Amino acid sequence: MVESGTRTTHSFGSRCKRRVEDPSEDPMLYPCRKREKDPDDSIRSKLGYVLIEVLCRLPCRSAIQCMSVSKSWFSLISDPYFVRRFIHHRHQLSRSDSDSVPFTLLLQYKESQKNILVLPSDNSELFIDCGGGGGLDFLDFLPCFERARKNYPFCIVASFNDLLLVRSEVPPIRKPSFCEYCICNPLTKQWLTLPHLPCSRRNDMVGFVCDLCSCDKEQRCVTNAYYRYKVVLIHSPTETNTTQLSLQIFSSETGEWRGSVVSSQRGLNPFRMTSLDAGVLVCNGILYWIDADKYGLMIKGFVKFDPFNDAERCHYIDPPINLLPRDLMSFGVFQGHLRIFQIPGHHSPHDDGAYKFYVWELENYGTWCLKHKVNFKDTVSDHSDLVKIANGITPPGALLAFHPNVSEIVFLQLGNYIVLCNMQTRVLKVVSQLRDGGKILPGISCYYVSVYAKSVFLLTQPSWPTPVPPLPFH
Amino acid sequence: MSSVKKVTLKSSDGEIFEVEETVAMESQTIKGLIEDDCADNAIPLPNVTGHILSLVIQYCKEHTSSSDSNSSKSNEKLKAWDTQFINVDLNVLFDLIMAANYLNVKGLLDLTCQTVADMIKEKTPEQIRAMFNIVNDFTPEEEEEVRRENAWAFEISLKNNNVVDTFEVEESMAKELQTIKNMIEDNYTDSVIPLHNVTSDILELVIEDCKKHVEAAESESEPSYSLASKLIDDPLKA
Repeated sequence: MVESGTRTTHSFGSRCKRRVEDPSEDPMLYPCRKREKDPDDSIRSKLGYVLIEVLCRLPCRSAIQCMSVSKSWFSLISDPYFVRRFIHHRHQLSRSDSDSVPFTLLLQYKESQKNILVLPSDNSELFIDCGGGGGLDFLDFLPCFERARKNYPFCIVASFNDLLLVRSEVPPIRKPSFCEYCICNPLTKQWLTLPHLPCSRRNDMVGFVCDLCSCDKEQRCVTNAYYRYKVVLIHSPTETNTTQLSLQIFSSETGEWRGSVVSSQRGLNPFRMTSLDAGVLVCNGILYWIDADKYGLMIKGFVKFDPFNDAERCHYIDPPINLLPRDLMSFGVFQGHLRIFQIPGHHSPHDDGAYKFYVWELENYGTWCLKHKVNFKDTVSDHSDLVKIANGITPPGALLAFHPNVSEIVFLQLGNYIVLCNMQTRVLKVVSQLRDGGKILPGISCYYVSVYAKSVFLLTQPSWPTPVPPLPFH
Repeated sequence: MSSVKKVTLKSSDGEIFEVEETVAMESQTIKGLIEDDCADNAIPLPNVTGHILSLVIQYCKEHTSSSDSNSSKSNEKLKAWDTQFINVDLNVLFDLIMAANYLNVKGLLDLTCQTVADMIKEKTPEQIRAMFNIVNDFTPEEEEEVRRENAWAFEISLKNNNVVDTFEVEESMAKELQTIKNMIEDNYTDSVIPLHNVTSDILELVIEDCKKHVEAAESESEPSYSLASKLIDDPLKA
């Protein structure tokens, strides 16, 4: 039904819960009262008692290395109780320190060439080695990776915190074609595959959302050691103005895919490029996607679906302003709030030819608030290409993602550059350049690679890597 | 003023300590007893010896007076005092952890546990076993499996300065390079080792070469010196 594993299929101890009896060491719950004849012996027994408190204060990597010290240390550290305690201890430390969540921005583009661009933050511990060619090789621990080698469809479709959802398809050769989804943690290389689905001929969008368990209701913190998750396959409406949406949802609680029909008060239109290229966004456990007009060109609004708490219906959110043709709009998330990035097109002869961009944020009461407004002409950069692009005659930039820690910083694509833009100081800084098959593309060229929003993944790194599958509840 | 409230504490080996109430209340356990009016006579502490209790009291004294408005103790001075205070042998350190846990003195528990954690952080599993005299009850295969299952935690990353290309390599391989071996043995604590003088492509070649040396040593097929000569030949041809 659901297969999972790490790099080796047979694992010692980590999948079974029995404690290993070790006569020379006492489990930490039972402090030893040996006579202090042998000082070494007493150190060992005392350490057993205090080990959890000590190991909680190690960096995650060191704590895991300690698994190889002895069997009782191994049992202790792989026990879900320890992981929960470790995570919770970090919560108490970082009450005020939410500024330095490590993250990695992962861009996937030109899928046929399987290009990947990885931008880790300075404090990120996730090092993805794309190889010189910039490919998906970092996923080669997945059993379905062999399909990528055969050039079957294979790509990352969604992410949640530090987890990725990968889809591979097997075309109909001897058996009927099928589609396989796989959840994995690229750091720990743990994975699990979901039951196969027949390949759909329709345009589908996929959302992946996890519901983390609370580790302390009073302190309102959550632990990623235990969680339930859902993979939501959203089938495109087949007609315009549909009020019923057909979904297929995989739930970790049932272990199966189930079809579901969801009602919408507003009529929804078939998914075309605008919706499909933007993909599904997850914000506070809720899925959002774009609803466009019947030609699929203009954004009408956003559809909102909560698979955990309100799975019978979806809701509609109108954009902050009416959109006109040639207006560009994309969406993202910042610290639990939905944000929109908008570049108005040039509509009237009075436009001075400069492009501006606006960032709106959806407040808790459902109203949009204009957070930032930047005129590209006012931006400064010490990179001459950026200056050229910012003052050019075509819309200069596209949104990649909002910086997870800093409200005024946003990642943009300008030309073939990946740029950091500070919306307050208006400084533009190049952080990377797109490559194709390993070769760096010229920053300004008549050929720009499109990086679609659905293929921009912001991986955040929690204090303990999210286990795949989740640890069993006690 | 002479009427400062005091409480009496009695250790497991019968030593009596008279301590100011404010100092004693650094211990949440004792604070609870005082507030429940159970502290009229000596408070017995059967889990703490006199020696350890005197140290705990020292700690509490130092940390209570620092939160007085009259006190001029700066944070740096307090940290320096803590560092000096915690410089005790392992047995005493563990006893302090257990006492801090039992008496619920949060600051002392953090200080003592963090000190032991810092000792562990810099050490390899072999060194940790030696320090605490732990028997390695894994077979070599079992230990190898633990490492393999959690390979990401055991790898060291070599980071090139120019293009931020990082290469993850097994520690045994990285040690082929004397410079890195020395860094590792000197307990270089960062998980990423920056190599300012080496560009990505050269680093890739070097790592490939190290890999071959390590594999050759393990399989004992070719003597490693013949591989070195191969590499010397190649750049001439390339």
